Amino acid sequence: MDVATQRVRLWNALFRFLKKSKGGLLEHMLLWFVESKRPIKVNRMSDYVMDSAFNYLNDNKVRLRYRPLRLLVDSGAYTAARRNLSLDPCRIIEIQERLGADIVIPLDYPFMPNMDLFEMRKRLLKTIENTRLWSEVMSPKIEIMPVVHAIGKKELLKTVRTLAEICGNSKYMGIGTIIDTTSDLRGFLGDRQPRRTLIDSLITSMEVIKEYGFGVHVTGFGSSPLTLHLAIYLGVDSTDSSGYRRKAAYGKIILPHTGERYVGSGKAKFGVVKPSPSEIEYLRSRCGCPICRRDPYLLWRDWRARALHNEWVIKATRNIGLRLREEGLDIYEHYLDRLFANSWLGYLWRYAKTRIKYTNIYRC
Amino acid sequence: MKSEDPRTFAVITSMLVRLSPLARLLSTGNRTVLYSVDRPELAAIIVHLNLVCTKETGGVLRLPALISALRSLERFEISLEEEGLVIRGRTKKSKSPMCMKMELIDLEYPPLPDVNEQILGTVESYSFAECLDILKNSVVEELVFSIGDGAVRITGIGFGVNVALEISTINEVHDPIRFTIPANYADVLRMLARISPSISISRGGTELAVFTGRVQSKEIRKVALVLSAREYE
Repeated sequence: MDVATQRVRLWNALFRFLKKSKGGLLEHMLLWFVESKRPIKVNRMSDYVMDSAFNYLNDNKVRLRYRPLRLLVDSGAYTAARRNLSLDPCRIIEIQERLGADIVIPLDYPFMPNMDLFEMRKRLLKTIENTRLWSEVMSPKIEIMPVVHAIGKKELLKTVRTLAEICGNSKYMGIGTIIDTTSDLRGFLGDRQPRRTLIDSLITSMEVIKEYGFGVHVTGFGSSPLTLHLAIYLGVDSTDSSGYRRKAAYGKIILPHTGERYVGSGKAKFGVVKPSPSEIEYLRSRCGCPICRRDPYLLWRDWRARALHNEWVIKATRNIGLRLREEGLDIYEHYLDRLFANSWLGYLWRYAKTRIKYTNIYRC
Repeated sequence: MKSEDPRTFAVITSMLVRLSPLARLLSTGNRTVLYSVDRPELAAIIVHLNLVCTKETGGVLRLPALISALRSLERFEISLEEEGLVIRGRTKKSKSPMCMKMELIDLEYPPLPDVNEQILGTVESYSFAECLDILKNSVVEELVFSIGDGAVRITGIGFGVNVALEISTINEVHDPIRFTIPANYADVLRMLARISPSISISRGGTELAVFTGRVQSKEIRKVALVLSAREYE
């Protein structure tokens, strides 16, 4: 039996055990699936869905094309900053309200590479100003999720305090671009590359945000099972996943434990790892997703089928992660040790473990 | 203050840079300390310097340029002046005079860690460095120190790995004790062992381990590596 088959069997056994022992979804960590004007599923009545106001900027009639359980609407600030576009705060508020959002992210101004400190401070003040505007004009039924950007730890504390004063009723606070002045004056964390510095920034920001009683939202950690496990292990309260549909659009499916496999039309030039015979057998006979149960070869033909499969794997990963964390951090650690043993992200896992196990020298 | 060998100072600067490219210099009259803290704030290196400054001064230094300068010098003189840290010397090859001024930047930096050391044992550096050489690899995640019965047992643990080594202590003051430190600081610890004839292992409270080296150099009194530690279950 090859390693991939062994892993798949272990994963299946674990999933069956957890399903039997407790059943149902846990609400300890919110996982928002990103949808857009071309939804993967219209009926999202059991899902937390995230959308961006940016997608509807040019629409005369702003209309939601799916039915979510709860809807989080982002402003699209990061996309706008990357494209060097300027967004009108009033238009963003209008779109967010028209979409019937439950939670909204105010228009913020993330730091971009090569920005000088003066420009960053200006953007920081504008973000706080906008958060204040949102809290004043947004309907009280809509919750606001402020986003923290900061240059240095002192400013992080100050910004979180200010945002907590403005959005006292909010449950979650998002982590934006955090620059650590003690290590690198040019440090930039907006790109979310899997580096050790990202773990450092996350943990530092989480400590501060949680002190003020907010849950922490971290963008993009639900895109792959490994990053999702990292988020659960670190104690993130909310994250989102756009990777499930992006990967599907690029012809990729996520396999539990073994990573991504390419099942597209053959036009991809990088990251092309085709599924092995044992993995195809797993998809045919053992994968529990609705697509594979019907016809696994749909994955080769339809990107939406791939997206649905990926979504199912991500949801199952979340359930396993939350249950194991609940069983005990040591049990979860042992599970993740095995999971990350051959992964290229292993260094990140070992680093995260050290950060969680050891206390900051100033708190000892 | 003149020194014959800038190598020791270069090694110490490299150690500081391993934790952070920025270090803070603090001078309170007769006591001058240069320290750096790493980004996750799990480790700090405190260098006690033999530098006298008439007034209280402090600031952050950017260290990387200092290492290459020190390596190219055959002798040097270090002083704390109005404009910051000044290093004067002669280059190894052409014997040209060199003067390097390092400005003290006013930048946010963590404070000097406050540590009350309680020495547990002292080990000879050569064997200590040798043990760390063996344990310094990517699969060892934590180092367990067991001190007692005239020996220090260092065990490297990781997923599926357990490597134990034992060295004798020169002197030992306390009851047997066991604690762990993150293995990614083995490299800095090994550098400390390279510049000091012996290393004292201490605890500073329940969750701190301090490794102190007495350096045989005119400009440095001692170097202490403060690490976050935890009880080993």
